[in-house]
Amino acid sequence: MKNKMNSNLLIFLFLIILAFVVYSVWQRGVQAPVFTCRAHIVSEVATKTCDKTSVFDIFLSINEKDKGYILISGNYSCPNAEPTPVEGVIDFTYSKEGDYYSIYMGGRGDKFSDVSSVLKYGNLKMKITNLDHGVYMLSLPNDILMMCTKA
Amino acid sequence: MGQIIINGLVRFNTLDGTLLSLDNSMDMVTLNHVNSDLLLLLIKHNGVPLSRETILNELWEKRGLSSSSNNLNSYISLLRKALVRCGCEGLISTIPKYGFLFEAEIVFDDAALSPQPKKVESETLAHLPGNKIINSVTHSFGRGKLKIVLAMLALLLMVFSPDIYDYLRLKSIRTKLFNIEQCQFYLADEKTKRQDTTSTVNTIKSMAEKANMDCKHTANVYFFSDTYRDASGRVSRENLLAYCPYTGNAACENFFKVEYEK
Repeated sequence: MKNKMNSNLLIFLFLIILAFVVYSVWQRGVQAPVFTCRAHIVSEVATKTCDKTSVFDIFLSINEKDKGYILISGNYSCPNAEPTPVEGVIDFTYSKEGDYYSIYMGGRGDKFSDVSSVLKYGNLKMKITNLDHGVYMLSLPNDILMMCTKA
Repeated sequence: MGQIIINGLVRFNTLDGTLLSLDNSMDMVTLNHVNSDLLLLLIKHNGVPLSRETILNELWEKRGLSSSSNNLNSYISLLRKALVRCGCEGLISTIPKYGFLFEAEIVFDDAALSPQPKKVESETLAHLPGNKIINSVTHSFGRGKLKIVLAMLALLLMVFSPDIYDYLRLKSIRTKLFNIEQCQFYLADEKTKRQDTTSTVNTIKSMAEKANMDCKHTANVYFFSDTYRDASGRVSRENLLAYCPYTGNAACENFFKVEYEK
């Protein structure tokens, strides 16, 4: 009888531990509803017109109500030319589809496409992968966008 | 290990108190620790009548516990049933108004538990070799220690399971390539991982030098590379080197370079 009670107790404890482990792992894998991160980007892109250099900061915010925004601040320039400043906010709405965020960009000027070619698209499928030390990898289905730090 | 074979039919493991039929015709029977000690005591006095007082004294009073003759009857009854289940019937006889007699053919597998000379067996339990009781206590202690070890392992698993999960998850995402001082360089996408390692390392070192990365402080650096061919056949290579410092809340610095092959 005592052995049976001990066995039952062990099974019960094992189930509690198992539930705790599964919950912890599940919680780690779940993306928080509110997400903000920032990154500094330096890019050198050879175009038909010039070898363009861009330096800008990006702040990405995704909130709970299927809305978010991208804050961009920086400039770009061609060799021997004055830097062109680019600043502004791009609002967007989004829906979550599996691992990916389907992002629908709001109104924005042409100036943003000079900063990054990705910003000219109206709809983006973006995945956010949590690495370590508050670092996230933002990627499209066929491309890596950038690494950013949780803000 | 204390292994005792009873009547050539049953193997009694004194360490875990189990009875196992030698021809595997029965399931294993596990005795509780009192019955296990009781059977060991009876075996040690095989063929010698044991008084109730002696048994009560050996199994309970010497350990600072108390019990009654009725309790002893219950344990004897349970032990008889367990032995019957293993095909050993009638090994324990009741001696009215005295106690019990255990009679069986006993073979000791373990030298440590080998039978004492007959003259010792015929002595009273007060003169029994102490190692038998010590063994019994050691077994209980061993079981207790095992439970503590298991509990500690379970606790460690609970505490560290998120870290273990993170470690395995990161291991599946990124592959470490090399170090420069405090910077650890990783590849984190399959396309880049498939590329020639030497060429990748050279490209990373060149970009890191140009970007003037601070590797005096701990940082993770991720490298991504891909090649595209447009409709006109022009091939471009995109490289991204992302420097993410450990400390503080500094943003990752992404160095992005697009080159067209001529």
